[in-house]
Amino acid sequence: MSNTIIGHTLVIDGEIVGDESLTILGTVKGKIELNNTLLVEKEGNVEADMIVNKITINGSVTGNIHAHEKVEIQEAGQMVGDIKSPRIFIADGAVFKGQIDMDVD
Amino acid sequence: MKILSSQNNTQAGFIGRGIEIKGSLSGEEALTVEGKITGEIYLGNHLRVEESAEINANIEVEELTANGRITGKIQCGSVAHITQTANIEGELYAPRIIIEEGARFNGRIEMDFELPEGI
Repeated sequence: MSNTIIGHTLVIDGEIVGDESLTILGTVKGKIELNNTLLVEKEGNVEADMIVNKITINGSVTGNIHAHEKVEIQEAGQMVGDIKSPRIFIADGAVFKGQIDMDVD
Repeated sequence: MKILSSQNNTQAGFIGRGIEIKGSLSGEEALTVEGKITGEIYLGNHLRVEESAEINANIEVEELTANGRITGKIQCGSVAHITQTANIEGELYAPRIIIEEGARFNGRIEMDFELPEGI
C-alpha cells in the first residue's frame, strides 16, 4: 500500500479525496476527505475541514475534524476547531481550542 | 515512507494512486504522482507522472517525466521526457523534449530555439 506524502515545500490549495494514508509535512488549505489515516507532522500546516478515519496531529491544524475512529493531538500539536470523534487523545503539552462531540455512532 | 532519488533534492513528495487532488499544488521539491490531480501544478523541481496517474492541469515545472496521462498546458524549464506509456493532450513548451516511440501526443509543441539568420 502506498503512502502519500505532501512534502515540506508543497502547498496545496483545494480538495484532497482518497482512501490511502496521507502524511502532511507541507501546507494544505481547503478540504480533506480520507477513508484512512491522516498524519500531520511537526512542520505540517493544515487549514481545512476534514472527514477522516483517524488523524494524528503533531503540527498545526485549523478547521473542523470529523473522525470515524480517533483524533490524536500529540504534545507538539496545535489545533483550533471543532472535533467530532468517538475517541480522542490529547497529550500533555498539546494546544487545543474548540468543541468536542463524542456522541457519534 | 517512499523516498525518491532526485539529483538535487533530499526531500520529495509522493501522491499515491488512492488520492485525488482538486485545486492548486505548488512547491520546490521533486514530486511523483500516481493519483489524480485536477487544477494547477507549479513545481520548481522534477515532476514524475506515473502510469496510473491522471492529470488534468496547467503545469509549470522545471523538469517533467511523463509515463501517464496528462491533459493541459505544460511549461517546462529544462527537459520534458514523454515515455512510451504516456498519453498527452494539450500544449507542451520546453527547451528540450524527448518523445519515445509508442507515446501518444495530441496537441502543440514549442521548443525554444534560435532561428537561423535570414528566415
